[in-house]
Amino acid sequence: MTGNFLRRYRGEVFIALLCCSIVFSQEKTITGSVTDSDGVPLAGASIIVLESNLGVVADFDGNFSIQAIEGQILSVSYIGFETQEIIVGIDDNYNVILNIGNVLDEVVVTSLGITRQKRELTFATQNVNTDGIDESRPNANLVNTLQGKVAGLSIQTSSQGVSGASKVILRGNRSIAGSSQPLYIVDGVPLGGSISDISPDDIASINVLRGSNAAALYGARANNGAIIITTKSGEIGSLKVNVNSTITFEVPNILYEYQNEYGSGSGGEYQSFTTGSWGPRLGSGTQPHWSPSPDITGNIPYQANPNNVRDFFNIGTTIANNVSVTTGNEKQQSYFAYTNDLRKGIVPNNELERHSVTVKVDNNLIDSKLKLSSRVNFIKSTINNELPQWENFANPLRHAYRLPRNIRTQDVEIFEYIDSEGNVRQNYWKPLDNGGANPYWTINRNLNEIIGERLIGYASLTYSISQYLNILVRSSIDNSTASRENFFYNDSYIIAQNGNYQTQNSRLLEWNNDFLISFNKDLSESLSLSLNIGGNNRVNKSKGVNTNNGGLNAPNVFSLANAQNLSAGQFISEREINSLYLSSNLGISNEIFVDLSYRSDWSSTLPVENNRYDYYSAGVSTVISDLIDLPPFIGFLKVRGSYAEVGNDTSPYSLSRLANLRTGGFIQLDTSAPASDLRPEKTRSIEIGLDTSLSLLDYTINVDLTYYKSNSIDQLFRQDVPSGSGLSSRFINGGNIQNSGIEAVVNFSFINQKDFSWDTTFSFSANTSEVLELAEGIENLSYGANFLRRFQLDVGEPWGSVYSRGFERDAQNRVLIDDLGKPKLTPGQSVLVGNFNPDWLAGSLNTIRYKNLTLRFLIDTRQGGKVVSFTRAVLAADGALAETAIGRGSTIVFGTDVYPNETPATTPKPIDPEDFWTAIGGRNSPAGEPFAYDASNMRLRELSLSYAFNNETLSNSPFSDVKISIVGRNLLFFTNNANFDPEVTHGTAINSDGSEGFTLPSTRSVGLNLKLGF
Amino acid sequence: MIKRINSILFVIGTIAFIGCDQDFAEINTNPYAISTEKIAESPPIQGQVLAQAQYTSMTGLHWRFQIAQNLFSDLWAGYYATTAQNFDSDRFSQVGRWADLAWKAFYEESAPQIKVLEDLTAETQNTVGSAIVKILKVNGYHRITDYWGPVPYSEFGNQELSVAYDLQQDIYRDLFRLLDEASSDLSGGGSVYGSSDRIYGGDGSKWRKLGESLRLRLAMRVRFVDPSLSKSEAEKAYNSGALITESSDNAFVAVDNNNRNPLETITDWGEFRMSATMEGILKGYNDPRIEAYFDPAIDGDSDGDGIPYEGLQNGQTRVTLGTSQNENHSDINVKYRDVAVGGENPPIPLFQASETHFLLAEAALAGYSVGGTAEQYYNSGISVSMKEHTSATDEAITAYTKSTSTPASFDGATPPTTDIPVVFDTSDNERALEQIITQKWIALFPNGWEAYAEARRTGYPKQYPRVASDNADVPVNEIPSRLVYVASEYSTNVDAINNAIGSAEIGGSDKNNVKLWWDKK
Repeated sequence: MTGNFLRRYRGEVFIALLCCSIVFSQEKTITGSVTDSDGVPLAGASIIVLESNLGVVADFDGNFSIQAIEGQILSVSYIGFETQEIIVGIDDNYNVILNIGNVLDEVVVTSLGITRQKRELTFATQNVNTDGIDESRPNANLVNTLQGKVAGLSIQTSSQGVSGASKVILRGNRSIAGSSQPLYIVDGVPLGGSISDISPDDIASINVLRGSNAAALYGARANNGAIIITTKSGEIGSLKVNVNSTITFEVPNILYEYQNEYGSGSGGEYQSFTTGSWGPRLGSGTQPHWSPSPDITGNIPYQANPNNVRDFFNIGTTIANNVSVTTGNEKQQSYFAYTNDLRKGIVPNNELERHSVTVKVDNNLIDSKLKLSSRVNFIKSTINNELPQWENFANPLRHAYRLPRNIRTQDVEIFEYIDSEGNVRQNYWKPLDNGGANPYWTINRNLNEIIGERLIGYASLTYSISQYLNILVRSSIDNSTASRENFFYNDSYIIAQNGNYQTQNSRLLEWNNDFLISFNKDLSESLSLSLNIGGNNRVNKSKGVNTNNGGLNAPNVFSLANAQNLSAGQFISEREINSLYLSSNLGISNEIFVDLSYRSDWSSTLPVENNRYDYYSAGVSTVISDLIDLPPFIGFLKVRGSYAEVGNDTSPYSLSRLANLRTGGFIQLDTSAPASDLRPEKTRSIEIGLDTSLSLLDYTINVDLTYYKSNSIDQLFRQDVPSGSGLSSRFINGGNIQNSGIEAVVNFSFINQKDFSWDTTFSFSANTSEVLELAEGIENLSYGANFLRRFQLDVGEPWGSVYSRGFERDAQNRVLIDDLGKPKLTPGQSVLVGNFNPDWLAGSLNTIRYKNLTLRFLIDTRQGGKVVSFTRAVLAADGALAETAIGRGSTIVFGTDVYPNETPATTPKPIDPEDFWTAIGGRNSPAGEPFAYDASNMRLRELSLSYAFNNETLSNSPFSDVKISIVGRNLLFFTNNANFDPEVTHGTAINSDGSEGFTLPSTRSVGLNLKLGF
Repeated sequence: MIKRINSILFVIGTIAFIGCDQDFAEINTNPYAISTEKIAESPPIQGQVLAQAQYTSMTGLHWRFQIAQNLFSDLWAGYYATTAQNFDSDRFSQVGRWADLAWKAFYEESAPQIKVLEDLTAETQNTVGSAIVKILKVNGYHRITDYWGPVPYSEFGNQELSVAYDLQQDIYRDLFRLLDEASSDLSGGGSVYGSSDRIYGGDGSKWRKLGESLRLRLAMRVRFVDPSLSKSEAEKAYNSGALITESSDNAFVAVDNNNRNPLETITDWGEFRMSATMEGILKGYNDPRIEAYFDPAIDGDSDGDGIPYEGLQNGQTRVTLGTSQNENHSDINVKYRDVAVGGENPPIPLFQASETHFLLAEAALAGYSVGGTAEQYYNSGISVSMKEHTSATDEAITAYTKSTSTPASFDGATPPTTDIPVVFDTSDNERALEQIITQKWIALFPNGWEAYAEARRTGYPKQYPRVASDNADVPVNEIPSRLVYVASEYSTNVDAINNAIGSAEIGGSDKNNVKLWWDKK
């Protein structure tokens, strides 16, 4: 009934919650400071009123203010220190001194926005040190700040430029057809769209729930773990204004090794009508200009231009400004913030402008029995020229990387000319080429603009029926619209010879309506119980219209009315899920904790008669050190274990076979067989771990260790079937993908003195996957094929095998050689090149404080994995790579001059290098094996040096806080043998791993951050 | 415990969500798509399914057409030469992924539509519709088997993980059977599907003519491997009295602004030009169709042979293509090109009257009784084609058919490909066959798919050798005999493919130089 009530009245509830604002309270303001035993202020310490959701964070000077009622308990915690609890008495001011201790008394925000002490938790979580995330801003996406800081978390950035999405994986890939990415929760409610719009300035804390164990209560999407973000709130006290400004500069770090000895041409002869650098030796002399323009004639120097690729890039800039205002009294606390982001990418004209406004208000109503919380975040963004990926013709990187080695920047910068008939033409050496373009033309004449508006908000009412019983009702939305236009000028060859104009307008909605009944009581001296019963109604809907002009009548007028051949399309995806859930936490003597949860979902995507699936979790933790006497160096020891089973539905409209309507009166049957007799997907996971605090010599070391194993079974995926069957693919409901691994987080203070401290957090994780089963009679499943490589899941092998064309070999693994001296290549993509997954990830985050100076640096390593480079395969056939210069004008021998690690089966005939490289590389059917590289890399990902001014210094100024930081990212970067950044991918989909193709280069950035508090 | 919670939750859940199921079913229905049930109920909707099948079975979509036809059969038939430096199929390299997409163009976009219509028209006793679909099926499958040899046919649509290949001879025999059925069902004419039928607007009697004309095409295809079948089917076609002999009965797939003639789009990309073989033949014959098929080269008469139409020898190397060959060679005629540059977006030819005449000419030459002599049909075939493409007068056409001109050298240096004149040679059957097929090759333009099949079967027209071959199995003076099987079949249907390769028709080796069943001259 409640579910139905929520469904029927969700609109009214939402409006009522927003409007409701009765104000009444008897609370008082508590102020205070938090320091360590040496008097060092603990900026960022968290102060929470227990048995409420109210909490604040101490400022730079360790000061805080919070409202509470006499008799309530304040829990004061800080990473690396023992948590203290203070009973609110008559005093209004409390100076709290925290002792260095174990991290295990940290208070963490877990499922449903409930704060719990870390000692109670039965599953692995990691509180991320958010220091500096609003200073050292990564260029594209908030989530990139987590890279290297969380055990078990792998992040790859896309190559879209300043607006880039990221691929985030916790504990390995598990879903064959769906997403393996985690769910983002902001202030207790899930995000429906991307995390990238969230301003780092609004973040108070980030907590990562790594397993599905922890997340069973958020529903199926938290199967892959959850990233829980708590945003900043208003604080009781006088008005505070903070200003945070950052400017960073980013330079490309191009790693491809080009040859600079030979220029445009083929067969050693100069030709301009080519993308290849197989011409004569560069040096003195001139050659006819390549330009097709009648006005650009004569000869130009035929010399090496080693920097022509580098010249294409700009220095990228990020300017971010944030103003936040907090204020509050006993009755109401408010937070207001405005963030402005201006970014210019390293690819010219790739720009982003974003405005984000946040208002968060918490009201205490009716004697603190009723609380109203609401938050609205409105974001408006304009993205110009988001970079298309991979070998898209409009991807300027495809053309920039392929510049023949003699092309001068000053010539190619002139990207267009007017022909004799007055038409604007592309100034390119190979007019009309299928796959080539002047990169400067692409960035100036193949444009796009994406205007996005997004509203993220919630309103919740919490009513305390008694000291022990609370009821929460909440409605939240994440609604975004995006309006995209693509502008192609005429003479854009294959993509738009007559120019083109495309639009897409889309809307993405996530709407959640929840209720939650919470019961918290100490049942006896030694028994505490927390019981939550909740319900959720969730709607996800996306809808859009796109148009394509199919050419332009009037040249370069971008309007629908100017269409040569207008076509339009629509898309829709909608699902609704109702859920009921129950969770309980039982504490015995504050030493043994037992968690149980159970959830049922009803999903619209499943057959009506069988649309429910259930899942549950159970966990236990024991503080051993409180139960038995341990050697004195073990200050604390907790062991924990949990089991979870999470169900999942499928994508909308999967149950019946459809036909699609096509413009012009065509109907085309969908050749995918519908799913029938669906069993819901399930992931079963188990984890065990221990959290301990060791005292060795004078040091305290905190260690979290976790072992996990998850099995994702009964997955729904498509299997390609012979097209003669009348279908292209059919649904398989099976599979068992296992991921297991270990994670370790170690916190340690090298030095801990009043004026000098060095804290380090070390994270390590290693994941092993295995495809245990696909389906009856299916031993392997191929997917994600492109020109270069495909993936295959092989039963008994790890997830992520990359196959491509490769060398044919004999029984002794020697490479077979053809009559011309070329290695024989397999006709299909049948050679296992490697696995794209890393063997392990490790990161070390260090914070060194000396008086007012803070130095922070993060070093991280990603070890193992293979990436096949499409760019290098193409550049090899172009004769642009350094190794292609070997043997020019003469011949090379396979196994000797090139690929000396390979043993030919027969003595190869010497071969012309152009014949060799065009045979194994190129675009249409390159061999991937010779272009596969180790993805291992290590980098100094973050470095910042900050100076915070003393209060005394500032006492005569209008400022309460001033902090200046110099920040840098990726200042050092090493790879094993890959000369590209293996972490940059050409997309975030399941099939974008394991290959690199015309992606952005690695970058280094430095910048300046200024924080002012008034 | 879990069980108890389970049952409690179940009760609550059931109460809470009663009434939701109907909404859920509605939510899970895509409002922008059409269900298969709806198709079954409505013949007008079936007409749109047919329209799609007609367009796709001629690989109407531009990029599909390019990879399926323009980069294989159009080149290997000798109509055009590639000018794109990174395209290797003109040197006989069968770029695997292109062929795979060509295979799927038929099996994923045409064959399923044909199958659904075949089943639905049978179920609903829609005899005229059923006959039309059968004829469309004959056209689609003969093209596919003519590319590869044994292909999935009788088991198509079995929805299984393995789909057996049928031998080409079995497919051909069954196609003749389908034509028998269709012809009999259409004997009374009839009409169905209306304007959704992009070929004949639903006119059953015209469809019967297309069916019988296809029968004649297939009959001549099997001439050398099964002469008696060839004779009986050819004579059956002739005796039906329903052949496409007039241009007004030509079978074209109509196009529109959204579903265009693929040449209209792919010509924008400047990746092929007239072949040297084409130049030599049309130039030597003083054939006025050269102006209808091609345009003068932008650079004009660069070889100084007196005419500005310039052909490029096939099989150019990467080195020679490193200099643009587009300006100094003839592009296809502007009417086939982009509307923006003056193109006409013409309909896609499926079967034209001139082909019937040349088929009958060969039938007569083979001694079949088809109501005329080889020479008569040869001359009338030329006449029908000339009138379709040019404004040549009857006198001019007669003069052309009596001409003793022979093909010329394309560059003034290389000898011509052959010495046969236009005027019909009644003294030598082999020379007559070469004349018939050469003229049919001209008339079929731009239908390279059919021209490639006939070039393999008869060896005509004689073509210039390729400049280079990248394929060890196919030397420069030959053309590939078939396409090798595609990667997606190797990965999804390997047992069936191995059976096909092991059959007598392929003989154990899946190569480009394996002659097909009908290729037995």
